[in-house]
Amino acid sequence: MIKLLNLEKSVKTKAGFTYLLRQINLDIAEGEFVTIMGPSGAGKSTLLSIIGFYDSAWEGEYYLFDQAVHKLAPKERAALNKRHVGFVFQQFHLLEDLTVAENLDIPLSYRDVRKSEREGIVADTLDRFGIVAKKDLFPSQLSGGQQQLVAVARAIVAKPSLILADEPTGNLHSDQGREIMELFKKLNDAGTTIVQVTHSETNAAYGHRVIRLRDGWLAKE
Amino acid sequence: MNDFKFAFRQLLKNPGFTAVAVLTLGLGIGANTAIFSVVNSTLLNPVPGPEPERLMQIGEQNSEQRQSGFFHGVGPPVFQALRENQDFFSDLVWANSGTPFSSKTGDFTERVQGSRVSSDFFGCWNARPILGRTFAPDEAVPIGKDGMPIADSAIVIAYAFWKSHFSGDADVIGKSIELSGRRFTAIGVMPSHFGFPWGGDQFWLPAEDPHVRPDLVETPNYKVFARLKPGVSAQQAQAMLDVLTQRLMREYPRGMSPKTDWLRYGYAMFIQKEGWSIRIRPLREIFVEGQLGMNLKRTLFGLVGALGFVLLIACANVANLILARTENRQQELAIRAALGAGRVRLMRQVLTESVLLAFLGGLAGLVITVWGMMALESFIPYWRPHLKEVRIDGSALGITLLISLGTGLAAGLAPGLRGSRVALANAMKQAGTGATVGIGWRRYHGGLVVIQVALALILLTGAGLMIENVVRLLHVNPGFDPENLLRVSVQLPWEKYERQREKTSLLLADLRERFAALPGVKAVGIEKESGFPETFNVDGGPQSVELYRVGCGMEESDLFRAMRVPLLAGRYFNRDDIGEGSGTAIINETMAQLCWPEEVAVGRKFRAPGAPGAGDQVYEVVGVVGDIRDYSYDQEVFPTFYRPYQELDLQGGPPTFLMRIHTDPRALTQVIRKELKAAEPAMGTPDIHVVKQKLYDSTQARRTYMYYLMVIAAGGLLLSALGIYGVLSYAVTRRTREIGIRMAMGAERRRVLGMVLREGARLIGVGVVAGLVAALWLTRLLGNQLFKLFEVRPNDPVVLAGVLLFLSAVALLACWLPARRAARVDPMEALRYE
Ligand SMILES: Nc1ncnc2c1ncn2[C@@H]1O[C@H](COP(=O)(O)OP(=O)(O)OP(=O)(O)O)[C@@H](O)[C@H]1O
Ligand SMILES: [Mg+2]
Repeated sequence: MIKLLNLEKSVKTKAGFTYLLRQINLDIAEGEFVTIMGPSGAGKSTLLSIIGFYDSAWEGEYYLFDQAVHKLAPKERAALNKRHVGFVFQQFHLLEDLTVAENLDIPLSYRDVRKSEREGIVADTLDRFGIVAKKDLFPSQLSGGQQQLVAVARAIVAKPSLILADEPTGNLHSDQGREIMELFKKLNDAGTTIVQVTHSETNAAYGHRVIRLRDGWLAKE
Repeated sequence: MNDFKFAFRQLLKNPGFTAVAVLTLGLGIGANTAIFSVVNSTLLNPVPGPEPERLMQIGEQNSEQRQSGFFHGVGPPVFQALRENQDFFSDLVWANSGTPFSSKTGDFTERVQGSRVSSDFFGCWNARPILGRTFAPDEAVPIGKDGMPIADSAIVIAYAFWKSHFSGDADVIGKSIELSGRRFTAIGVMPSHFGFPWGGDQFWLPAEDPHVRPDLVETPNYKVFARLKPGVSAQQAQAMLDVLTQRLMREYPRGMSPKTDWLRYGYAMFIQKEGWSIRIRPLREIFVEGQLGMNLKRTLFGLVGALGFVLLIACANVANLILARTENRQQELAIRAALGAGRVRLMRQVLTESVLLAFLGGLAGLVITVWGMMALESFIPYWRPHLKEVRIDGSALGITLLISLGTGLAAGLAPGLRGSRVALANAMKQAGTGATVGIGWRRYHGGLVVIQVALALILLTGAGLMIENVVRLLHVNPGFDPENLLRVSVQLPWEKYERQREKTSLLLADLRERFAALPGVKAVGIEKESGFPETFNVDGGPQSVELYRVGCGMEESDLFRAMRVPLLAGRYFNRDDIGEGSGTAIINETMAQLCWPEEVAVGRKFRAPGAPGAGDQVYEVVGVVGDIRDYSYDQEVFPTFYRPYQELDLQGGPPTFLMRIHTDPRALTQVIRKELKAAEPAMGTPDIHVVKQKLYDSTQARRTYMYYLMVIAAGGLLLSALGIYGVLSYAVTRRTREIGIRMAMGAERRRVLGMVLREGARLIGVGVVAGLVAALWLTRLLGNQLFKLFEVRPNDPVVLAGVLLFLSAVALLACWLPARRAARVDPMEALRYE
């Protein structure tokens, strides 16, 4: 499904060029559940956002199915993101002015789902994550863990075929973390491809394989 | 002091913000100070010196005059009686404009208008000459029966006269000036802003006080001005005048014989008129009386309103700017609070900056004031009485400072309060998550935008209506063809032609022949207005109507053919109509409507009651012509009937030739002057002008007013657009992260663009609705009198639609730029921002 060939990312800093990612070669098949691990600052989030089409400033080749992403215009990349990706941000990035339910509604509304349908989907998702009671609260009124739950819920609400999750359980109690992982497993069994970043070996165990990053280099498995 | 220094440094650090804020404020404040200064010194406080409210005008009025609203002068009997009441007035001065003097300039004699005044006249106004001196008490000269001083005397000349006749020569003092065959010695020159009691006065002559003299009954033409003594109220003075009124009515009773007591008989003609009395009014009222005073008031107050709106818009803009800045400084304020700065301390700091900004704005405003006042002076007609110089006066300056300070405080206070509260909250909590614009904040900014849009809409509506008014005015059918038409009004020497109808007619016929022979002249018509109304009875119509008599030429000198006035019914005059006995008349449409509405006028009769014994003078209508507006598009058309010009005396309007010309009418001016001089060597200066130009010039005041309103409205619109732009642009900056998240969630650029545009459009929409309601209400309030004459509906749908379209287009453009910026947000960048 995803094929990265010699992908490199560099940024200009005061000190000159810095490479964040080097010679990344990666194959992820459809229906895989992959875990990316590595020390802080290794470039995990950077890689994830490239896979998620948020970041277009890199060199190398990226194929999604047969499509050469590196040849696409930013607008077309954004369209791919919208069609395939559900993303859980490390910093959650919930919209502060919107309630929990409204935050969940956002991806659906951008995918032109009809209003009546949306209400049903949002209600189901709230139920699934056990946050029905919080649906009218604003993000600032939630605990860090609750915010993370909402962020995960928002990522899957539009039924993406590719879930990219950047430390989705970092703030959660282990029981809740397990529930998320179980959910990912279920989605993966149903055919959703998942790439997650985590520091937890327990979480990594839910996946099929682990990719290790160190200083921007892909380590041997 | 520390706060002040810091505020100054802050302003210098943000030159863009400071420049925009100072200019915006300066514009609002400057324009308003200018209009306020002008209004104040021309309308509200036109009287100079200490205690101007004690200065009064005293005049005679009968019921009829009271109705027309005009305040007339007094006659000698009243003045004499006033002089005896020294308990009430500390100053009692007068002025009488009388007949114009003639002054020789080049080939022609020119008429110059001046006033005969009491020798203490200038002292009453604290008016000092720029050269020489004013009159001494012993310089007053008796006035003869003809209104001329009987001896040579001193003269004080006006600034304009000094410039035109002496080229502003400082050596004018002591020089001799010849007027109407008498010599006057110039003793002083008044400054340009002194024009009293009439702005067109070219000079002032010292004259003896009016008194009842055995050889003359004078009409009440002495304008009398008085200063109330301390402790005397206007009511008390009026009560005294009421007593005087009673006394004079007894002294000049009805039914005196003109043979035995013709003086008392003559003055009784005025004093015994119905409702006659002596009235007193504040001097201030002389500056705003009549239709012209009304017009000026309307124009200036219209501008006051319009500029007030601009000031409000400017204030809203500045408030928005300061608000946005304070929000951006929350971080700094939070740190200060955490370091122990109290709420008062924080507020003071924010306020200091606002007030400093307001002061700078006020300073810029002063500069703009000076320009603005120069621009506004074109609205003040020169012939309007004026005593005072138009300048930035103390109160206007005070108001400027108040406005600028108030704006600074208001703009600083809200964010100041808010800023300090947020700062404290932030200091307590960990650095909050809130990076999107708070709902309260958005409402606050949005409210200001709504107000701006509403105000801009009102301004634009006003300007739009004025444009329509002027356009309509320029399309009014004047009732004749003004193209290539020249009007020549001739000044025949009175001494030779007064009451000499035969001689006058011969001269006019001679002149007509000379003009007709000039190259390019196609037709020459003659017109002579009597200038005063006469009362007639109408057969089968109203009992008594006031009609104006106009003399006109016929056949080769036919006025209507030369002017191309349409004949609506009947026929034109021919030679058989000459002579009172013919009893024929051509009337205008207005008269036909007045006397025989909806009926055929030709063949109907109207009659003037003749002297006792003699029969009525009866006129039969033989023709009806269209109404003529030949001086201004909006001139009032009076019910008029025409008779051959040969029957009219010289008094009234001057004989006038209307010449239809093939080529450019201007080219003929010199030849015409030559012909006039050849036909009558004693001819006065003729008044020659191109009719079409005159008509266009008559719209000058309205056009200027329209341009000003347009400029003001454009300024208001620009400021509003800036405001909308600023608010949305600021909102986009604040919402960068939110927009990034939305894009990460799948929102396309198009959608983001739409989101920002929608937000702007919502504000604009609310503003437009509010503005529409206010505009309709305002125009209803002002509309009736404003647009009565030309039937511009105050809520004209075309104007409103045009204004809405224009405003929306500009406002949406102002939204478009920030919206486009929002659509260009890179989600990756925006999210890393955290
Ligand atoms: N725009 C940028 N400019 C410069 N350096 C950057 C930029 N973005 C990321 N980096 C650097 O790239 C490196 C990788 O960052 P990244 O966020 O991918 O780390 P990570 O592996 O996700 O770490 P963590 O486990 O702490 O989340 C870091 O050293 C970071 O400082
Ligand atoms: Mg990371």
